[in-house]
Amino acid sequence: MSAQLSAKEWQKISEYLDGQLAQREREHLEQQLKVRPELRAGLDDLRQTRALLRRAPRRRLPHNFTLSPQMLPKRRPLPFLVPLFSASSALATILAVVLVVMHLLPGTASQSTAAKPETMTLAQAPQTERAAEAGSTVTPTPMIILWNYVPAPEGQGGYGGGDAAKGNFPSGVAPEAPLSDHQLGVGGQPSPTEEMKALAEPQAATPQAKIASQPTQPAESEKPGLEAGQPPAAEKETAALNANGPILGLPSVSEEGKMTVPTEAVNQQSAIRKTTFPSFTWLVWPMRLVVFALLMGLAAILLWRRNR
Amino acid sequence: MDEQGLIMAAQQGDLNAFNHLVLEYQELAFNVAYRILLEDDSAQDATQNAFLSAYRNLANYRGGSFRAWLLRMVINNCYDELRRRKRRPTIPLEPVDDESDEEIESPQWLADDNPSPEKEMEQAQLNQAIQHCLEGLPEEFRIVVAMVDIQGLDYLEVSRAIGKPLGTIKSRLARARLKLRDCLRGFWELLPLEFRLEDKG
Repeated sequence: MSAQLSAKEWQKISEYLDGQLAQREREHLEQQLKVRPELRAGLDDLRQTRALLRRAPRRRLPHNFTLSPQMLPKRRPLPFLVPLFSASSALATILAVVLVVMHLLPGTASQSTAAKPETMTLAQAPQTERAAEAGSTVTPTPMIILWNYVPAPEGQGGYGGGDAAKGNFPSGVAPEAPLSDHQLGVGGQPSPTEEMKALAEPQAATPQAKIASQPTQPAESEKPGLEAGQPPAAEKETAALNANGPILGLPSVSEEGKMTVPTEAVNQQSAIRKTTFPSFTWLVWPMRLVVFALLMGLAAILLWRRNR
Repeated sequence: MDEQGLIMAAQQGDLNAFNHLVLEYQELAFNVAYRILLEDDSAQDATQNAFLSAYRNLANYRGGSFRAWLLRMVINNCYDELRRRKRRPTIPLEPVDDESDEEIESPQWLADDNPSPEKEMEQAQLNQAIQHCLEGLPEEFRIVVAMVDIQGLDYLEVSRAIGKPLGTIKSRLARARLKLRDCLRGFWELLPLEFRLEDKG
């Protein structure tokens, strides 16, 4: 009869036997027990089984299970590596914090930013020296040719801008002293008109000026005329210079006609990017220290747990 | 000193305090282990190892029923022993009658150490029947029955001790009881008279 019960009904009976059913479930089961004899038989079976199990004799203890100090495993002393690793971890953490704090403190931050104008002046120093030399000698400067020259808007410094009628340089032609303070927008140097006058004078220049003028030929069509007026020794130099690539703006034969990007412009753009986006290179060492501290700490914990 | 005081002292390393707890629970621990492992020697080993584990891990005890926490150690050690048996199965030694060369069905040493009067004989028969039926149960059913029906623990303690939800305990217990009922019916005639009378009633 009891075989007709489902597994769920057996579980309900079992829970009812132990008083584990909620009141509503218990009342429902008790009503079922009144009308279903197979349910009552199943309950009796389980009750008797439980009674048998509860009367199972208790096993006598063969002996006491109390612990003695000899039974406990002796703790091995911690190896010297544990304090070493712990100290290394702590030291590395402190160093990392100190580095970060030093960088973030307002005083140290101003020092780092103040270094930028210094580097700029250092970079400008050779240029100003050369400009001073150019201003003091007042020798006629030879012309140089700038390939792919794009005239800047007027009044923005650099090599000037505008057309030749305003007294500026013609497109693609500029004096060799472009690094003077005047041309960098500083002023206080000979005006463009003076330089134009100097340019208009015949080529009674110094030997340096001659050498500088040789590779500054504006175009291929002008090459024969210029080369004809040069001495044989200078011809060799010109040939060597032409073979080696672009010097003073003159590209090699293989590079003629190709589009080139001025490296100065690229450098300027990268400098602008550097100033626009903050750099996190200062975090490299603190991060290395943090990783080192974590590894040391982990090793110390593992060793300690192993020897516990 | 109450139980919590003994536990706190034992956590500080007081071995005597811990041994007081051992004396309190050793009978329960050993009997649970015995009903799960169904072997005296294995149950002794499991119980002793459970108390050692408990002492070493006292720092991890975070309150609640200490009995359930301790029984968890016992059950874990029993599981270890059961796994070891599965890896290296052994043939149990059965006592053999010297004259007939047949196995003795009801060995006295299984029931008790002392020669028994009639009452003890009945208890031994009941114990043998229960042991036999428990042996036929799956381990997870056997553990629940041993704790709830034989040792009288409540569902919640068993749930904490074996780390299973309450519903699982209820389900396993019902199925275990059903299997035991079927098994014990085969021993009905061997059981003491009082049990048979209970059945008729």
